[in-house]
Amino acid sequence: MKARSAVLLASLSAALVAFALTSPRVVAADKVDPATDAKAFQNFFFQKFPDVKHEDFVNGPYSMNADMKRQWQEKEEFPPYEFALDAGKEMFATPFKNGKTYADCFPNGGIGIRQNYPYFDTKEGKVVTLELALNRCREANGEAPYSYVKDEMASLTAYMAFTSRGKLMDIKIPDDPRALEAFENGKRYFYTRRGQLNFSCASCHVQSPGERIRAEILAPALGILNAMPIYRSEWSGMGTISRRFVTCNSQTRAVPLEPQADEYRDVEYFLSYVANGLPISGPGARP
Amino acid sequence: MRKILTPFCRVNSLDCQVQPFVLWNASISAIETFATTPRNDALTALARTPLLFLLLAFAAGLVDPARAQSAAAEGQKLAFDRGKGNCLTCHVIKGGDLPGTIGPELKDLKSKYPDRNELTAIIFDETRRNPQTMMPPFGRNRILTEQEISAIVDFLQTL
Repeated sequence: MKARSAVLLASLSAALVAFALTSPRVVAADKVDPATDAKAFQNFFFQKFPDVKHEDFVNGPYSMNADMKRQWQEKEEFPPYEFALDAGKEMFATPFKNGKTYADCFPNGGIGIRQNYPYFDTKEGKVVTLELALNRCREANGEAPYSYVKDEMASLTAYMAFTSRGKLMDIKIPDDPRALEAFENGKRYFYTRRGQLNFSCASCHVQSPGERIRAEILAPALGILNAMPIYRSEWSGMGTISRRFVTCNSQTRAVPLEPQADEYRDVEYFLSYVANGLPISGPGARP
Repeated sequence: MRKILTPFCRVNSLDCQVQPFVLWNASISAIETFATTPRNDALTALARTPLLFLLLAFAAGLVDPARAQSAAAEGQKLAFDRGKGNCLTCHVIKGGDLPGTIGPELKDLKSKYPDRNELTAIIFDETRRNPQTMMPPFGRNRILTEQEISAIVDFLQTL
């Protein structure tokens, strides 16, 4: 018995030494590698749903269910986001009190650029989303910022997405440790369980896309932001990416963050980056 | 509220809530209250009054199955309540509309889990058995109380 425990002790300490020796190498192999992450993320969905065309993932639940897709396509003849789209177009063209317009704040006059947002601002050291950039544009021109979750913000982003439809998501991660940290932070937020119901974003949108919760079909995480903003029947109105994050948190009984909190900006960065190569489809309509 | 099984009133049916049964249930409650007054009093009373003894026997005969029924009915209500168990969001359950597809259908649970403690443990915190599960830890995160979980287990065992 004693000999046995001695052997056990020896092998245990040997294992400990081995672990101590190898662990630095494990950490090194674990370094942030967004390109590899994006590839793995996309392949996961492509293999899980071999019949779904890659560019179709951006249509959320409709890519998962033929019946729903047919109904949606009929609805698209008179899309529910049309009012917001028209309003956004008009707002975009209307000058601020100082005579400038939104077009002055964005590359290419703000047309066809949705696929480049969010981007990492190396001066600020943080992720800048389209919604944030729009409110910064307003404030820089002496206008009050809009609510991040709906109405005007949804109309403006609807128009900007519409002018970018079909363009492929193209998010860059500059060679800056803070950008890698933002990506990693967003990824961590995405996969961390929280709230009373103990769900992570991934529980529903990676583990269970295509499944039903009650009558609703869960959308795949891949390309989920490409369709934003969306008209949701459940909301009886338009909602932005900020609104989607806040309501996801509150529906799983977690404490929502403030719209455009660092974590939300980072998770948007992560989700958009892993959707690189998939087309912008927003504004969208969802049940 | 207590629900009694009669030929007209099954656990799953709304009939149980209509007036005659409410009255019936109220009278059962009264007998039950009488029967469950502190035991010592009841015992001395038992020795003294044959009438009370009869009443008690009547109550005892009726109350036990009634109590099991009422717990299962209460459990079903909790299981279907969106703010409580909300089990239909993920599971097919007999008697429930528009079920989700994430979890397995809940049926034959008594043969699958003869030990009710197993069912209780799954509802309390399934992540202990399966860290990847979607199922919320209803007990650990205080979504349901122990009594509520117990009532739901009563209900699940009828499936």
